[in-house]
Amino acid sequence: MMRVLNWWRVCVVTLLMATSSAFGEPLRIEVTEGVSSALPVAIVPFAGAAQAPGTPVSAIVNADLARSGRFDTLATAEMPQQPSSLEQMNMPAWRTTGVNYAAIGQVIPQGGGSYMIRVVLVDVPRGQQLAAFQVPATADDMRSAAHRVSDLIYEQLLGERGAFNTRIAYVSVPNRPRIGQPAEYLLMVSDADGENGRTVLKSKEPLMSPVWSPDGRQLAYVSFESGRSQIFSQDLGTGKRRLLSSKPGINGAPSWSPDGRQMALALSDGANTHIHLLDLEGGGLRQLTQGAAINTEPTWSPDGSKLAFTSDRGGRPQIYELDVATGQVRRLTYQGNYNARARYSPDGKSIVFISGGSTFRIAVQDLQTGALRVLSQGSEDESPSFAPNGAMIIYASQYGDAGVLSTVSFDGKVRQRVAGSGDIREAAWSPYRPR
Amino acid sequence: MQLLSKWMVVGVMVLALAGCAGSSKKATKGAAGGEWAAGAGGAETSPLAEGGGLKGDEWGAVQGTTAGNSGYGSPTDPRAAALQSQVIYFEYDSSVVAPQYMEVVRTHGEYLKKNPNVRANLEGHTDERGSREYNIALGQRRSDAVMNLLIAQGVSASQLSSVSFGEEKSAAYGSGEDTWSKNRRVEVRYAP
Repeated sequence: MMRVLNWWRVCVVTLLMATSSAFGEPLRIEVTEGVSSALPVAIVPFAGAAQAPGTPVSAIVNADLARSGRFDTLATAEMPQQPSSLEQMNMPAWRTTGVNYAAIGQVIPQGGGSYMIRVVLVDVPRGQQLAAFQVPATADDMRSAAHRVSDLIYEQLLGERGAFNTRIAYVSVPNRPRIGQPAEYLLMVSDADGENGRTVLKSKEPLMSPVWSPDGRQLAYVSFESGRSQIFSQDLGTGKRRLLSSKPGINGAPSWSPDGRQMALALSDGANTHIHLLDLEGGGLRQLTQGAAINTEPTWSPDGSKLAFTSDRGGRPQIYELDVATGQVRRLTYQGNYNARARYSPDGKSIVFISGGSTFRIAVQDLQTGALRVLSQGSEDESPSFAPNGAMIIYASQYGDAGVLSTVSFDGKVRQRVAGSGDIREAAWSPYRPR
Repeated sequence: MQLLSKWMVVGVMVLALAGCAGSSKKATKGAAGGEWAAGAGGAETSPLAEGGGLKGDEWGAVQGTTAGNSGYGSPTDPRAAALQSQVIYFEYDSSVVAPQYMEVVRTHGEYLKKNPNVRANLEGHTDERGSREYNIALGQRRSDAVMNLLIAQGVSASQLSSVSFGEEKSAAYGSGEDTWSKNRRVEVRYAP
């Protein structure tokens, strides 16, 4: 039965949009396409999990691994038993399920509201333990602890760093503005799976372009709260804001340097818009582009030496790369007549961007070979952002009348929709949390 | 086998729908208050660490809202109020004011010249296609183009300001050229 389900694993899930529009609704991850070569695993419900305050640790782990598209997770109903230790496992029974690995575990109260999550990863065909680890948790951070378990399993089985214990920031417009009803724009931060959404800023005027500081402690964004664009940074721990740029005209597209000391941004001067560098400590401002053009959406390469940006200096928007030290500019995109809003992959070898013409889709280009791969299938896809492990990209697309977020794997084979209420736009994936 | 696969997909859809309908939405800790700061565009922050409750006193550097919007769009003069419905529209990716809209620009210009104490904010917009920040810049080109025409007509620059909202403030929703053409625009909004 497992093999048959594997084969027919094209999972079409109808999107159920919430009809109510309470702001701060959690995002739901729904699988729209899957891959039949995913690694079969079983995440067995952990013993003692009922004692942990209402958070199903193993269910979170199961959902994380399934969402990545790299794993085919066994349904609980298909499990021959629910052991919590290697000794309890009936290996012959497990071998009939076809899973390569099983994760078994316990959530053990330590007193005082703290817990220890102990997990054993079992190589089922060999019938032996592959790895064991434990993750401390408190009642308040149980979901985060579960995501750390997911990361540990992902790393152990794939040899790559997991990015489940991360966050996303995004803009949400819960209600379409109507006559007599004020518009409302929310800046939200949630876990990367869409849960634990918190409003960090609420405004009657547009919010745009959220970006994370390299240490993950702050967001910068564009706010129109004063009637025109300004750039703010905001400390997520304290809520304190700092007005970074309020020049006449456009203040847009902030991007934090990897060393956290500079902000690249776009400022206008008459009909032209130019990339500038703002020294966050001293306040000095340096203009990097010249000429009659729109130059915007600067983004730093991971090594801090280059800025990719959008420019229409050649007529239509294309992506260029500026060497920060020398000022030299080279053009990166040559295919299609509209390429904009680039982000570098964490390894610096590729850029993801919006590629368009009659439709606008997310594309990845190898910076060395120039090879281009279109990753999405919508008509107005935008705002791509890499997970910090480079394995997935989140982006905004249209579904019916609303904006929704979707994730797609770097190779383009696995795509999932992230649902929610209202019109969701512009997600930015956080850096890794400090280890 | 083809028929079987179709029924498998339908079966999965039914199961998935049943599953989705049964799932509960977790309550999130959204903004606790709901009180807007005084002024045109109040923005409120919330310290993430405290679980999302709004703490209006802890804004730090935020001074509350400025009167940046200054009541644009609520003119006392009924003529100005009527003029606000005269919008200038644009072709895709263009900031050129087409000949058929020059009369609209002239009408605004005549009113402003006759009323030198009146101020107008030129608000540039785009349709939803393409990247948001590029559209901010495109909208700015549009509002600046109208501003330059008004100045050339003899309107004092001190009466005029220009701002771009890019694709962020749609006049019409949906997709297709019918909607898009309604969003590629400059609106002239008057202060009392």
